[in-house]
Amino acid sequence: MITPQLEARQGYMDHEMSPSEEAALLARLAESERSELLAARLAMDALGRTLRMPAPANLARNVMAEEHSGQNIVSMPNETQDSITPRMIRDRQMFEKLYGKLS
Amino acid sequence: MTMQDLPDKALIDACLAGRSEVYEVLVRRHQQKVFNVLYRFFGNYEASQDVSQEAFLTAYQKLGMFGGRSAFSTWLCQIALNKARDLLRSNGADTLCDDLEDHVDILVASDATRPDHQMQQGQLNDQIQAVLNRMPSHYREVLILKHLEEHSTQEIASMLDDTEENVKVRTFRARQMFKQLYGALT
Repeated sequence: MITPQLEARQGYMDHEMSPSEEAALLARLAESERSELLAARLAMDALGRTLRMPAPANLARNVMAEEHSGQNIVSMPNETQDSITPRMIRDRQMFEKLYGKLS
Repeated sequence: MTMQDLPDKALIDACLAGRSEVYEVLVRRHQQKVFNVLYRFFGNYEASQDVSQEAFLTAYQKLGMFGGRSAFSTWLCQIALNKARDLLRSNGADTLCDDLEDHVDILVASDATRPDHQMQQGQLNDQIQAVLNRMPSHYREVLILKHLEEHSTQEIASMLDDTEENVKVRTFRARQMFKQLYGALT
């Protein structure tokens, strides 16, 4: 159950409030609630500042190698393997009509 | 116009039209986001790499089912998180954090000349991951999507196949837990 109080606290945590709205919210809270909310936002801000781990350099290459192994064919809902080739030809014609031929 | 200039939708159309090699552009465009979500989820480099790869392959196989109701990256993250949860379930665990320290070292060692404030950032990173690893996965994933990837509640609900109200409640509880664990650590 989302109460207006909870909604307001979420808005504060997400930095969605104006400075005056934030001040009004904090003024309404008891001291213990206020320090708890401030501590929670500091913790969340710390989480948001964490470093990004670089994706492995070979990720895209590995995906494409698997994909080219022939075991991975794009399928549509309720489509059988026999219907894939005609659909691909039709889709390619539609794609080239929309976007032109890619080099 | 090169393939790199095309929007996701055009690249998806190209793949569906038989230009399977175009998929590599989509992988390169979104690999960082998918990998980071998984890396924070698992706290484990190898698992994140394997599941990223599987997620991109599954997305390729199901490309025709991508309805475009959400961003392609949202759909990819949904697939990746489903696979991540499956892996945890199959291991009977809620986290995989055995090699966390090794890979925090990769971050720290990636620039040996960086100044003190960046070294402190490395330590902060270490602490944050330690806290995430101690949280149940259903709380961990909402925090990652909300605070690291900055998704809206609506997008998170779509990725987690849940209602917005439930996501709000889950986010509130996850923040409470994170704050307590983080406070105890710092």
